[in-house]
Amino acid sequence: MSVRPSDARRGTSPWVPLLVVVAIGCAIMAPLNRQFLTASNGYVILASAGLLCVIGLAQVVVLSVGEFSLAIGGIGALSGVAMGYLLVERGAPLAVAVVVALAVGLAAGLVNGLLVAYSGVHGFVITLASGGAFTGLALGITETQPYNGLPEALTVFGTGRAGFVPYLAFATVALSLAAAAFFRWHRLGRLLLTVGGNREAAALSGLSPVRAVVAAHALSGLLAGAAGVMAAAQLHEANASVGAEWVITSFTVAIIGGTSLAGGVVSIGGLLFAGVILALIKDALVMLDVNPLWVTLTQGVLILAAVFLGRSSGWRAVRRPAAPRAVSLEGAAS
Amino acid sequence: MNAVEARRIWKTFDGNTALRDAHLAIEPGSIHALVGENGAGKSTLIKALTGVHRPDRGDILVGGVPVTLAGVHDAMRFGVSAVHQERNLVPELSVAENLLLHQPPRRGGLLDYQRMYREAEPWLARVGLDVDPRARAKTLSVAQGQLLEIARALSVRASVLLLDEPTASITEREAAVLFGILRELRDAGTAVLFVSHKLEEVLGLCDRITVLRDGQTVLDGVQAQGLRRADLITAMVGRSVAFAERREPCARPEAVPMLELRDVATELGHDAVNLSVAPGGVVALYGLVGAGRTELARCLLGLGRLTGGEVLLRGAPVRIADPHDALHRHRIGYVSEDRKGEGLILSHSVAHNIGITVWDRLRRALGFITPRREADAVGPVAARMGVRMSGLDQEVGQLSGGNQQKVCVARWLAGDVDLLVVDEPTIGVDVRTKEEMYVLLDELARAGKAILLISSDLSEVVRLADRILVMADRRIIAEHVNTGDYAQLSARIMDEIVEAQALVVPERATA
Repeated sequence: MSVRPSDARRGTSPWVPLLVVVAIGCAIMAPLNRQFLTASNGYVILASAGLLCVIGLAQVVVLSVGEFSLAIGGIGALSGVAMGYLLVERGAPLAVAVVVALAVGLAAGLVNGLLVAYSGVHGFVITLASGGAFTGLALGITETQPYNGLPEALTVFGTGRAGFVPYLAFATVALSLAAAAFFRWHRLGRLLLTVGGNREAAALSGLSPVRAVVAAHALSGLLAGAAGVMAAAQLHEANASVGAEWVITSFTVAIIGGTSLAGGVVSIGGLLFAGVILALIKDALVMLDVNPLWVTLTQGVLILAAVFLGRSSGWRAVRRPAAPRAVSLEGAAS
Repeated sequence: MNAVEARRIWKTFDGNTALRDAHLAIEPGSIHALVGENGAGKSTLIKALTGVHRPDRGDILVGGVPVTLAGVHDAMRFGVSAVHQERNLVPELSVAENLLLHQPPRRGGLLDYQRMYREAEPWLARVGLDVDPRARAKTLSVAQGQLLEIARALSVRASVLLLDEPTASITEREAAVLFGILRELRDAGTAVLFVSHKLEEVLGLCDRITVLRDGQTVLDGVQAQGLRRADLITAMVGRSVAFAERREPCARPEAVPMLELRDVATELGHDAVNLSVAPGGVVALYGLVGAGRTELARCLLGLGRLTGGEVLLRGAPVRIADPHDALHRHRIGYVSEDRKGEGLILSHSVAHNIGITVWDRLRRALGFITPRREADAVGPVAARMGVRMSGLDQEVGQLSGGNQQKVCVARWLAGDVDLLVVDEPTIGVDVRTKEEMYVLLDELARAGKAILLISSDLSEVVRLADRILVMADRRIIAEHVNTGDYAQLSARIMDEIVEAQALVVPERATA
């Protein structure tokens, strides 16, 4: 009996169709609204996409190993609040506050990873609970009042721009390149993908699935922490409720980007385009005076569309001799 | 007229032919056995009969009429129902709900529970299952669950009942009850197909027997009466296979054995296992499915606990903690019999699949692995194994079964192991790759590796091994020096296995 690799575990090599989607979207929008093709609107889209991508990246890292995290928003909020607390309440230097925020994210992720790997309780339950706990902790620290008056260096990073490119986007690109290199060339990245691709085979080949799961959650926490810092910089405040919608966002960006839900296949290039598409849609709906409430509906429709798109390209890949790679870098490099 | 017939069935998966011109015909009012080694095509044939797989060629006839089965429901409509090896019950639902799952009685759009419990009774009685229809399915024993599934299969007015290894996980007493019920069903006119590895049962229970080997029907519905176990085993394993020269032995018996097991017992039930493999030697562990060979290999990798005896590597006693330890400290590799489930990462490239074992060696500063270094390490191994691919970055899932198998072996070659345990290395690969695999294993032995070959293919064993250990029921029951005389060896080994099986499974043919 043979089993054809199912569509779900195959993931897709989606960045080309996504590029087409972006181009078509822009072509439709440009004549509809003269404001659309302006530098300031480009900035709005990229600034929004920059944060979305890092949130998605935090999910991609856990998906790669065949797990997922519902705690990304909680970790992001906690990290941002930790930074805000140090800056505003303690007057700590910015660098120290940022490093601590990232460390908080890493530690929170590590806790998740250890619990998932060693407790035997499903990751859904662990991260659902811990995500709530982290958010609660952030709320407790802030007493629901956001920290305002963040240092200028941070807010300039959050909302400044070079031409139409937000400074924030440089951080996103740097993180994405690092993630792509990590998955393609790093020993640990290979470990995550291999365990995600076939846990049993990885174990029999002397790799440690437990280590992979712990590492994936820890790195995801680190990235969620980075997203928390970026969000605070962008909003000019550290807010405990910032991560409320991050979980669905993170899945949306990852899945549209072509990362496999079953593990073993990630696409960083696809992720970047997915982030841009999502930001583009939000922006277009605003420009067209559509009620922003519809954005959520659009997100849902997009996930479905991406799944069906992925399935058809999965079929193509079965027939086509040239293989999509496990990690596609092209998008990130362009 | 036959109740159901599969005629000249061909089925290919990813370039591997699972069924080639297979034939099976079951008469109404008979119990028909389908036997064959693992990979012979039994499951594929059953799935063709139940509409799970569409045959590439050939016809399915129900009651003499050709039918097209688009799915399990179609097959049920034609009265063909299967009970699979794994239980398919909804544990939290009641016995009656499980029983009438496909056609629950309704009243006004809602389930009519009173009627459901009432209707369940006769079906339960029919299979002799004395349980409360209101009880949850999870409270049933394995054997009771199986009877419940049989009742469910019958409740769709099945005239053909297919049972895939129904006795694999129940006790003998329970099996005896099951056989009684199957006989009653037969006498009531049902056509029963019985798949089993236990030949005693097959001979005691069934009226006719079909044997599959390599996807082909080798015994087609012969009378069970008068047939002996040895006849069946011979048919299953095949004697007429043309095989080339036995490899020239190159073991160095004077050298310290690479691997030695002394009176090893394991938590999986192995007892008093003794074996030794010299560098350059190929030792075969031969046995039928279920003899415990794979389990022994897994214990060698640290995946099962030893409860007694000693494992010596290169003359020194060792404790192997886990597969990582086995590979990196002791240089042991294991090629699984389950290529797709335990061997390969199908969505990854050839380079990635082979390179797993060498990443630690390849990594540079900060843990990065440069693609050049990886290609340098992996490329020659892939070339030596003769993997046919478009390039090292081709996805392994796109390769044929034979080439996938080569990738599995190549992984350990790259990892530079000294002892290679290969479990059914030619299962599901084409003839050409089989030959290539034999040549490769011979070359590896010549290069000084020790090879422990697990195989159910006796011609393969005679072709490759220096010595042949025969395993049955988790014990080594005999050891032979490979004389290369296939006929003589196979006759002796078959006798030994038959004898051992007779000891394990007491006669219950008349139970």
